[in-house]
Formats: sequence, C-alpha cells, structure tokens
Amino acid sequence: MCPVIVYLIHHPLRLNGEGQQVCGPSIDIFSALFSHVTCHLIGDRRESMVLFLLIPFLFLTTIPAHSADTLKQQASAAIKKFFQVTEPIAEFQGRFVDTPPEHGETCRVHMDFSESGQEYFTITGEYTPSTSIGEGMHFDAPDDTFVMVISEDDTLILEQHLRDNVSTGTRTSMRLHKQPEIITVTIRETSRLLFFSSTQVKHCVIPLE
Amino acid sequence: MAVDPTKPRTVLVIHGVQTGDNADLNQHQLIKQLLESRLGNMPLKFTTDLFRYEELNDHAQSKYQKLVKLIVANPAGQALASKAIDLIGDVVTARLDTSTAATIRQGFKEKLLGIFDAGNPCYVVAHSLGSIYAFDVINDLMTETELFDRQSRRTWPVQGLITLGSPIGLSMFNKGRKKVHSLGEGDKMFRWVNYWDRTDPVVSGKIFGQNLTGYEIAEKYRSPSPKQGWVIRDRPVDTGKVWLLAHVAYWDNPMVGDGLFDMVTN
Repeated sequence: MCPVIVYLIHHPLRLNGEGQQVCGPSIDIFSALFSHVTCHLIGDRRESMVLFLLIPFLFLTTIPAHSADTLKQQASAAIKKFFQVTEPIAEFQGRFVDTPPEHGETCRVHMDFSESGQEYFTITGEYTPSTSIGEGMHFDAPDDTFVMVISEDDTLILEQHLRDNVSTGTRTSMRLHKQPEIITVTIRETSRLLFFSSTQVKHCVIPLE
Repeated sequence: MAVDPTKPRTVLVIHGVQTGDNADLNQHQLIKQLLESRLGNMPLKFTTDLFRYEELNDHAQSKYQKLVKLIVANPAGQALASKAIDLIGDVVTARLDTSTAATIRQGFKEKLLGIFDAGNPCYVVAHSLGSIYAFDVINDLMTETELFDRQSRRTWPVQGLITLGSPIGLSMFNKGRKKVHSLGEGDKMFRWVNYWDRTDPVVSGKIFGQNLTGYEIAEKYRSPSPKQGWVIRDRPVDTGKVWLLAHVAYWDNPMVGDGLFDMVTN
C-alpha cells in the first residue's frame, strides 16, 4: 500500500489571535498527491527508494497550501483592532500625500463589516466612480486570496492577491501606521492584464481627533 | 425632459481600446452599417453617434509609450509594441479613479443627457474599456431622482446597454463594482446584453486567448430580487478571429447586429 505523505511546513507570516506572529503548520496537498501517484506508477517494491529520492525534491518544490481561512479572519480582526472600532461600519476622512495629483486631494477610508461574506476595507478618492466601493481588501473573495497579515505595535500590513489566471490579476498591499496624531494608510496596487502591468501607490493620511 | 418614442433612435457608441487618435475612430459608422444590414427594409429611423475620448487616454499613456520606446530597440518591434499599448494598454493603465477618468465619465454623461434633452431614445453600445465607463455612468444616472422611474421608460436617458469584449469580468474591475443600481418597484426592465468572443484575451485575461466556456461576466451582476429591474445576459459569439483580433472584430458580427436590432425595435 502506498503511503500518502503529508508535509508539515512552517509559514512565518501567520498570526495568533493577539495579532502576533506565530509559526504554524499547513498541509502540502500537492506533495502528498504527487508522491501517492508516483508510488502507484512505479510500484511498491521500489517505494522506499522512490521516497528517498522524492523527499529532497519535494522539499525543494513544495507549494504550500496555507490555512488562509484564518488569515482572512485575522485580517478583519486586525483592522478592527487597529482602528479600535466596535461598530460594523466606519469611515475616516483624510488627505492624500505623496500621491499623484491625478487622484485628487482628499481620500476616505471605508470599513464595512456589517454583512457577513461581503465585508470590505477600502480607500476611495474624489475621482473614484460612485459605482465603486474603492480599492483595498475585499473579504467576499476566496480565503486563499489573503496572503499576508502582519501586526506589530503601531503597524499593520495586509496583502491580498486576486488572480484571474496566470497572466492577469491584481495584487493589493496595505500598510497602516499609527502615529500620535495621524494614521497613514498606504495602498500599493498592481494590476496585470496579459503582458501589461501597472502599479500605483497612494498614501492617505487620517488626522486623529 | 422626456423621451419621445416617435423620434429617431440614437445608438451612442463609446469606444474602448483603439489604435490611432480621435480622427481614426469610426465605430459608429460600423454600427450603422451593421444595424442597417439587420433591418432590411424595415422603416426604422435611427442615427448613430460616437463619444470620443482617445486623446485623453493617449495623454495618460504617454509615459508608457516612452518607456516602451526605450526598451524596444528594434524599429519594427517598437512599432508593434506601441500599437499593442494602444490596443490593450489603456485597459490596465487607464486608472478609473483619476481626474482623467472622471473627465471622460462626465463627458459621456453630458452626451447622454444631451440626447435625452432632445427626446431621442438612446441605446449605448460600449466596447472594451468603454464598457466600464458606460457601466459607471449609467449606474450613476440611475441614482438621480428624476431619472429612471421604473414605471416609465420616458424618464430613461438610456434605454438599453450592449457591451462588446468587456473586461468587467476581470478582478481589477469587478472587485470594487459589486452590484448594479436597483431600479426599485415597477415592471419595466433595463436591458444589458454582453457579447464576448471565447478567445478574446481582454475578456478572459488569458495571455494565449484560450477558449472559454461557461464564463459568467455580466451575469454575475444578476440578482434574484425583483426590485433590481435589470435583464442581464452574456452572449458568446464567434467572430471568426482569434486573440487580439477577436477583440476588435465585434463591429460586423451578425449576432451583435441581431441583438442590437432586437433592442432598438422592442
């Protein structure tokens, strides 16, 4: 009987409930299936030899399937904690700094956790169309689109990748930094379509009352 | 202000990715020929018009054009790269939250309201990136209290929307655009028909233009709520072209013509 190999690998970017970095296991399904199929193809008698050769190879080529469900949940918890809000909907008015003037002068940070599965944390500007809820983190996307949540003292970093396919998609990272009188929200978004790519960076500064 | 159904219909085209400048744009002529070919001898009075914004977009893209000219040393390659940027570059480089995009939306809105003021029933045909502008402007108009009364199409500045090769199914556009504006109670329906070629890479985002099946694009915006008031359909078409050529081959497609005919005559 062929074994199913399950690799436990550590991912350094996972967080615990307190927003601190921890290491945790995730299951590499790809490696397990590959090993299982190869074992069937070659035969049980050579199993140990195949495994002996495969293990170093698979360690080098593994594609980790992170337990991103918790990253998504941690992202929403970390946002609420960062802004210290208890209401499901909140909005903050700010100004763009070090941002191309074509995006305008004013910005708004929106947080809506009122509808389960439709939550979002976004930035809009004065030229954002009325049909758009803005750019940022979209929690209606699949769990595994959330790839990074790092929370350290006064800084929160979030990253989400929305992939349409291998050549097209968007990558959004947000860095929130709290200072005595202001919060700075930096959003970097890269859009890719076929062989074109475009990145924009915006900094929204929110004064604290 | 009210639409007079006895007046000639106006088919307003908003273009998308396109080579050349404003002087090269003639899609409204192509749509006129297409609709005439489907009407046969039917005595329907209509005109076609085009909303142009390419020069604004070219201006926004100029830095990318310069960059490509630096990268591509070969003159032939340079010409190809420049055309390619013109063709699909503005889909990704034309940010929709900029003052340029806002100017385009405002211009398109004013164009629509001008037709509405004249009383002509208006139908929008939007290609590629133009479909995103059309989506934004039409939904924005629906929020205005005097317009889009669901009981009376006479209050509708746009009677129907046809999109061709729209990238609205891609995450860069639909992640922020979650739903269409609901029209509320009533029995009139706003129609949106989205035509797409299965190999069109701007629709799918697939670099080799692989064939797609079962792809939901506009229909993602359908709602079971009767208050939505929209009829939304995706219609795959075979333009007979592949890859980028498919993206610019909708203008003489008979299925598109039949769909437009159906919309403007019903």
